[in-house]
Amino acid sequence: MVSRRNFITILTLLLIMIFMFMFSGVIKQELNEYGTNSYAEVEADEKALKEESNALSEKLAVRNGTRADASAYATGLETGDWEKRVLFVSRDPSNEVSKVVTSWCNYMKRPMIRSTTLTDLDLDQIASLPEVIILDGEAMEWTQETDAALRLAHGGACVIFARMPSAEEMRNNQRLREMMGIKTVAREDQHVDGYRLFPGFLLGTEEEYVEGPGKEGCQDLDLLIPWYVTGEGSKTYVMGVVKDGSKESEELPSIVWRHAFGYGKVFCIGGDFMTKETGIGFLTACLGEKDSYDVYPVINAQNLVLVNYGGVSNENAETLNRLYDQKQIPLFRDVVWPSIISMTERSGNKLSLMVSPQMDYSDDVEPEEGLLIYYLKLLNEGYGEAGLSTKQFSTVSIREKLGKDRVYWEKEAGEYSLRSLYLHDFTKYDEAKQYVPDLRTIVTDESDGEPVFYADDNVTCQETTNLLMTHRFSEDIKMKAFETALGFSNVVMDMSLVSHPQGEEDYASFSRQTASNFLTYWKPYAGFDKTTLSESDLRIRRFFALDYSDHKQDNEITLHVDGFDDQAFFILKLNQGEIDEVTGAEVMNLKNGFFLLDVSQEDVKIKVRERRLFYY
Amino acid sequence: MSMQLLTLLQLLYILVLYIGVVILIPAAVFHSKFEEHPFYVRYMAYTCIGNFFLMNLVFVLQLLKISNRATLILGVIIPALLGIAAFHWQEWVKATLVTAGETTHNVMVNTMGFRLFFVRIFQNIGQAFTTTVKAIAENLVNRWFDWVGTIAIIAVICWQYGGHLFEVFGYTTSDMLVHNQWINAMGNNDIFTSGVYPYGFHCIIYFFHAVFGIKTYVLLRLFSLVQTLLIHMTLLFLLRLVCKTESAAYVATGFFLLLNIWGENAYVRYYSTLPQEYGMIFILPAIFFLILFFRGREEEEGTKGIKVDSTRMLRLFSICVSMTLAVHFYDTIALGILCVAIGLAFCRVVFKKENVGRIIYAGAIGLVIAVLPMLIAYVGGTPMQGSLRWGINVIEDKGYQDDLIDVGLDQSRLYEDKGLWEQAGAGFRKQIANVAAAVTATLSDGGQGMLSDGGQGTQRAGVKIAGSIFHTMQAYLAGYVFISKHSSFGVITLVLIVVGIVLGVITLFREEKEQGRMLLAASMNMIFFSLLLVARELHLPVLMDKNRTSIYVAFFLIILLGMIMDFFIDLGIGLIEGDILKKISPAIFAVVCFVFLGLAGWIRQPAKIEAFQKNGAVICLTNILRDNEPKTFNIISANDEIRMAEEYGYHYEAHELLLQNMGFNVNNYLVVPSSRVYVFIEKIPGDYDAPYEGSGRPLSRESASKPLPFGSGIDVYKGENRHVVMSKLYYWAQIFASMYENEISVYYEDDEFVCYEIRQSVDRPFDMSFEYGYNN
Repeated sequence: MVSRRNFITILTLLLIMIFMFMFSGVIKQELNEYGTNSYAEVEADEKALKEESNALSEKLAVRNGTRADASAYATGLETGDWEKRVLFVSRDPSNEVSKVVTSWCNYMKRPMIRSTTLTDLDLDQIASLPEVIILDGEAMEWTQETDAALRLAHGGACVIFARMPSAEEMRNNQRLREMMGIKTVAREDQHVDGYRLFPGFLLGTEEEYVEGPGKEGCQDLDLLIPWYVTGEGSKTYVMGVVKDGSKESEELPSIVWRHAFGYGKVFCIGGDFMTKETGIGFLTACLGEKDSYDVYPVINAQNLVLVNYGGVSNENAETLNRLYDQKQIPLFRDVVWPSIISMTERSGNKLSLMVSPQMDYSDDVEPEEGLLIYYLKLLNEGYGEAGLSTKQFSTVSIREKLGKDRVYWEKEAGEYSLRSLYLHDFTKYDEAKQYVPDLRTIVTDESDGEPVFYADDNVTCQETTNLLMTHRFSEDIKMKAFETALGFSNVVMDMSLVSHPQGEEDYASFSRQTASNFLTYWKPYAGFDKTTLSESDLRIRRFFALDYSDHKQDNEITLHVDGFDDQAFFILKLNQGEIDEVTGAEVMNLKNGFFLLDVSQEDVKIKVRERRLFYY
Repeated sequence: MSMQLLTLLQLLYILVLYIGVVILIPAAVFHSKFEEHPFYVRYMAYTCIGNFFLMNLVFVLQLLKISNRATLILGVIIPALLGIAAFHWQEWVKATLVTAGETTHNVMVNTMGFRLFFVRIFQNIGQAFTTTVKAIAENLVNRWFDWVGTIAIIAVICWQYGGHLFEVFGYTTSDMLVHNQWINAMGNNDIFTSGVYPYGFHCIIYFFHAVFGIKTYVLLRLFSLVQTLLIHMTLLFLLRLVCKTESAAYVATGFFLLLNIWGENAYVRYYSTLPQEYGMIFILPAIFFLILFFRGREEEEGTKGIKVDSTRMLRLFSICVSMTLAVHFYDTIALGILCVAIGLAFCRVVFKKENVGRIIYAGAIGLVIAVLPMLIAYVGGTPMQGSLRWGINVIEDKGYQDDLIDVGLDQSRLYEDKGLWEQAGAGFRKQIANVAAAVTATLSDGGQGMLSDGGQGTQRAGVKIAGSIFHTMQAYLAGYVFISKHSSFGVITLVLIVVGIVLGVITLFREEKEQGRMLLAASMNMIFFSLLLVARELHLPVLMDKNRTSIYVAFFLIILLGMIMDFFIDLGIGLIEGDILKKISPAIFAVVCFVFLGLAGWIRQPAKIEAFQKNGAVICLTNILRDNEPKTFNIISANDEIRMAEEYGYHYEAHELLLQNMGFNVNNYLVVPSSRVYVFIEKIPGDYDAPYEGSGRPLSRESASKPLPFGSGIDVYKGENRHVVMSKLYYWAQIFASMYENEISVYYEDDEFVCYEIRQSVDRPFDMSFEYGYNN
């Protein structure tokens, strides 16, 4: 027999335990505001930011013309801006390289002057020349331009060859070779096995882009390159790899390198890096190697975007049943979601879930009730925010699709502010935006265009920087380039590959591949902030609105930020010494001489000191 | 952390480890065998056993090619444990184990509570503590003079021979680099890497490097103080053994350390970690144990056997003989001469039927043990090391030109470039030259003068020769052993020898046989060493060169001086009445002596020691080894770092770099393949002990424009060559910096030295050959 006293004790203990387990769930349920988008509550004057951005763009707008034009242009600029100006020389001012240089100048807040020739520059006034001279070597007439280029470089200018002159030109033009530090042109066309990227140039780890175990099918770089052997005074950042073992590493072809010529520095960017937006990373990296330090603004945002996320309707049931023995809703809820959460927890990333209530509007399958709110609950518990996807496998118009999705969304989560949209086809933007009244940012597919820009006065566009399913060599270089130039990545997982698989590959291999890629290749960028699309949208707006100036006196670097709005981020590339003290910003070491500055006021002072020895 | 603090910590670490391994472990094993003896006998015994064991352990493991940290540790621990078990099992080990077992059992069966258990433990600890403190206090009271004297001597040694370690960080002799190289090779079980050589010293240094991870260059920098401390302790303890009064030993040792009469030849090598000086630790203990053997034999009245104390002493004598030869054969020669003197003075004891065979046998065994590893290597095809041939040439009187007569006009060599010759007065220089010429002339006429006029001529010639020998001896003693302004000390030394003989005879008549014999032995030993100084002139075997001989002369002279002082102090004390006065009079005597020396300005200041490297180079090296993973860096420098950093990184000769840059060829691609490259440049280049006109001036374009010097080995870095190399290297670095301003930075800089750090990718290293303006 249990005594009355013991019975009461046991009962009390049971009640306490029940209370303890239930309490947390009840509290979570009661206090969580599933119906609202917490990321929409951040207060920022987006309109003012846009106005500042417009004013800055106008001020720095590209000018075409001669030295005389440039001087006139200078009168409209502040001294600091004028000192940062970039001269771009190409016979074809509208080619791909020109576009890359233009967007780079835009991101780096540098005035840009275009010219078709170097010959109209006043070469006797080298001190008054632009800080950076970018030459489109492939689009220049070297019989006329060689002298000027040599005088510029020798006099102390920083010359960047965005593309190299032809190999034939290099073989014949000895003075140009001398200027670039090329000892010999071993071959005009050489098939290499891959590239080797050395550390400290682009942000991230060093890499050998050669196919091998674990890297099958990754090679997509241009392997036919001229073989330039560089020598004394040169530093190679990217070289061609020839695996036959017949050559020492110093004899292997240089692809991207720097050469000290006279008082100046000459950067040579071979390959086809500068014809795509990847070029902005290379230009930034070159500038980072030019002086003892470089400081430039970045976005500091790392997005993980799940687009075309089904899981609220049982579409494509036949295929999924065949592959998984279950329908889409349980597959996404019980298999896909846990694996994604596991990945984000390991990486620390936040999720931007671009829900696709339906992808096939030709069938009778409708999205089910209660599931959207289920995912919103999970997202609100700390994993991220939700948006809409526009991809579909039926042929209905985007208006019709978004109209139906809107109805479903308002019925399920009417108070949740939809601020982001995955729009794989940017041309449909004008049609789409009407159906998402709170829209602030859109995600588009990869292209060779700018990675971030204003789609219109209210909406920013964040291009997909990388698709997670693949990670080929050019994609790795692109990732490194964007991280270097902007501290930005917008990594997209296309979940339609799970809900509407194209082959027989199951989710396990998809999950393994994507998790492996994400957790490996983005690991070096853990110092950047993990963001949702709304957060990165705000940072992009602030990034576009700010301008800056910097200078170094003795051991102190001073950074002044114009258009500062609560927060700004900069990368400091330090080639000499170490940071002693920083005021006005928090510092995060990104390795290899890169530091992230989280600026909290308009003026930042960075004291640099020589490295102190432990024993003295 | 400052280098001074680091040096202090490293020094303490080395000292503690050395005492622990070489003295305390043997003490733990053998204390029962020596517990009846006074402290200084025990100290000597443990030191010799510890060193002997370590040396031979390393020899065996090296010859078996299995020497590494694990085998060395096991090689020490296992025999130590076996020794403790064998010698003490019946005593406290067994008792302790039994007590521990019983207590555990009692606790487990609840017949002893935890409270009582802990009370017992604390009681035991308290008891042990109280006993120890009591014993120390008692000892302090009874032996206060020894305590004070020993601490004072240690303090003076640290002041004299330790101060420079905090001011000069580089190697102070050029041959330390060679020893460093040989010790490094032992890391690959490659003993005798440059040929057969006495490796006893190297074995000890290697042991502490391999087992405790102390870098070899740190040991070579700092071990000099440890070994100098031990050398002086042996001197002190031998004097304590043979002197009747306490003060004589301390005053004599104090004189050796403090008197400002010694020439640099006599003591300057104590500032460096060198084998010959390390071997000196074992010379006096050999004599020490031989005397104890004689004492034992008299007390034991003919008893024999391995458990007899005298046998134990003879064994210790044997291992000391062995160690002198295993470390440096000059020490064996010195010990041999000392043994001859002892043999003559103690002839009635030595040549007793039951002793003579045992002594010879012990000495021979010692020599065989020392020779055996070398013999094995030699038979195995390893040739003799070059410096052994040099030593043999000296003995055979071939090729070594340090001698006053042979060098003719180049007499400044007598003073080994120390500038002493210039300091010596012109009259003194003339005197030495005249005396030496007279001896040569007398000896070179083949005795014709002696035969020509019968007895009178013979007598005259004999007197002339004796006079010449006397003059030469005193001149050489004055020239080599004492500083030039005290040339009369040559005569004083010879007078002391005579006094020693006279006092020895008197003491023998006073029936104080051991003291008398020791006085005679010390005097005769000094006669032999004085003769060794003039051996060439007398056409006797030149067993060692004069500079090295002078070290032993000064060392042994102190023994004679100590014993003479002891005679007179003892005489003086005998005249004093009153116990208290008798007790404190030695202390008063010691204090008065040193106060007088101080007032007279005869206190020697520590020598100004110069290193072959700049301090900055060692500071940089220390930091480089801390900052970099092993084998990830290169040091471009003038030679010394090649051995100091050999195990940890790579070295590129500065001369080789400049050679590769000569007559710059655009198609050359010179690679120094490591991610970090450190360039050591002396802004005020040293001369590597080869002074030239303009030594000590800053590097210059003028020097850089001179042709790159050519030569073998270190020659390209000696004298003015070093100035040229450093100047060129500096301008090479300047041009490199103009091309790679972000990849090169100043790693360290002071007024005399600068180190640049170059950062490069090991997979695409920079081209280090280029036109820098002085590629000639």
